[in-house]
Amino acid sequence: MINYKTCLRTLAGVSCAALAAAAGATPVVYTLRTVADGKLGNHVFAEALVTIQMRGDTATVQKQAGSNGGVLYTNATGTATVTVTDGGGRTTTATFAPGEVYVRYDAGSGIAGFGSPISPSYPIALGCDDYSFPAGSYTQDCTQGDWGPLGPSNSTYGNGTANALAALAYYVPWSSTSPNPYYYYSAETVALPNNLTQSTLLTGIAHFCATTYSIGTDVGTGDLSTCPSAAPRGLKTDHGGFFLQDQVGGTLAPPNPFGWGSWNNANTGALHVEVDGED
Amino acid sequence: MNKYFSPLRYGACALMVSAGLALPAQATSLVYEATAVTDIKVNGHRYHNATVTVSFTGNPADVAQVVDGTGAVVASGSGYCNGPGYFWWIKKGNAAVSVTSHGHTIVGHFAPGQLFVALDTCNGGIGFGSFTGPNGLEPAYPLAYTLGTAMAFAESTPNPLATPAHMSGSPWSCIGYPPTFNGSNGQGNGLCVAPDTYPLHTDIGDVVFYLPYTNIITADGSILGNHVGNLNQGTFSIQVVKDE
Repeated sequence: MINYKTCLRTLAGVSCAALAAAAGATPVVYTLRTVADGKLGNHVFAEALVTIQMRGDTATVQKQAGSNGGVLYTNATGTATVTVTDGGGRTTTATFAPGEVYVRYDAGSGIAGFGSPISPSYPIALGCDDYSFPAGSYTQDCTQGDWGPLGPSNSTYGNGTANALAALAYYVPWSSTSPNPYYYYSAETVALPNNLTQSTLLTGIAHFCATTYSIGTDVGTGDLSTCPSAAPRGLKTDHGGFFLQDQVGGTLAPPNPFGWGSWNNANTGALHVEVDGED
Repeated sequence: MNKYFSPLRYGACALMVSAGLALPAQATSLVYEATAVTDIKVNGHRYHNATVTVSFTGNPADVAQVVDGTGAVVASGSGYCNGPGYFWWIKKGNAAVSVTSHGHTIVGHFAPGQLFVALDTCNGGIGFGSFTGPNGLEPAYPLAYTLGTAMAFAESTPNPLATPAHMSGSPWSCIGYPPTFNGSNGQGNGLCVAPDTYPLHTDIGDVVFYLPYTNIITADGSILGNHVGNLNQGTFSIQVVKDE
């Protein structure tokens, strides 16, 4: 950051206001880690570690009106890579062609991840509704967060910080008389910035589907099942086309005594926004 | 996610099992690795939202049931699965922690005998426990997972700690886990014990793990539940050591 003393030392003709604007241009690294199914070039992988990272600058973050009165943040300028480590320990890192992926955070819905020309929620979106929404006319995935606000929806329990921040903003001032009195979060959660220009951590259950999920059985956590169709094309990288297609989704129903299955046992992810000079 | 409206449902976990690779017949060392973005203190310096990886190299032949000081198999504290036989560990191995913040990485090696690989096949927990805290045994500190595919893997894979796989879930760093269960290792009040009193020792100084992002139910920070009370997400891997 450029402080006042620095301004005083600047050359004549350069205003502090201009410098302040320049100070907003700060290197940023967006890193999303998860476990997913897909293909990179000819290499098919199942339940592999997948990390998508984009290095860019906060100056190119775009803002527009988002869901629920919130702001939609995107950043499409930067160098993006994907690293895949499969079950055998084979690791491959590929660089995306320009314009193939961008980082996206709809702060009003609490959905964060990487979008592409194929879909704003593909290849990865965190915090999406696990129900087919809108019910009966589900034609696009991730049009609202898992927390709602429209039903059928779930609470933010366990889904992550992205949904929590959106619910918090929607129900402010939250209290015991709020629509869901259980929207209480730790001080550290409440303090997380909800944009793409400050360091933050946006977590949630992960969706990887270029189209829409198939509809399965609702056991209380969502009626979506798996992603039945691959993307119409691979996202271009220097290692060939990159595809993700969720083969787990809401299908796991382990024999735990709590009855927690389906989307409680789906893959999750974390989008880490790390701005230079910020904790 | 809604824990209150999930009916009991039994089923196969074929995909998760098939995603794991068969281990060679002879014992092969595995590296267990947990990665999450969280808060951590190393040698007195607290890092906020650092990328933290805890790794443990061990041998699946050393998987054993958890026993107490008298040698008795430890029973589950859960009312859902009372009795012994649900807790497993690997105590023998080498553990390390790496902390990456703003592109700078530091690596510390834990002093021997502090960490173990932890598995709870009833409640769906997997990760790293330690011999610390008021009771000297913590199943979810410094970093252990519930929910996600990690939970399914822990519950449904025949021998989870011997099965290479990647999974994701909710990473806990809680001394006094499970915090909402009364009469077990937890205090029953939803609170984890402040970790600063119980540092883990490494060759780069003492290390303390925090649990910053939680669903709480009261202003004192009482955590909502032992699974869904944590908002953070991370990954856990079991892989064959490459140099063997």
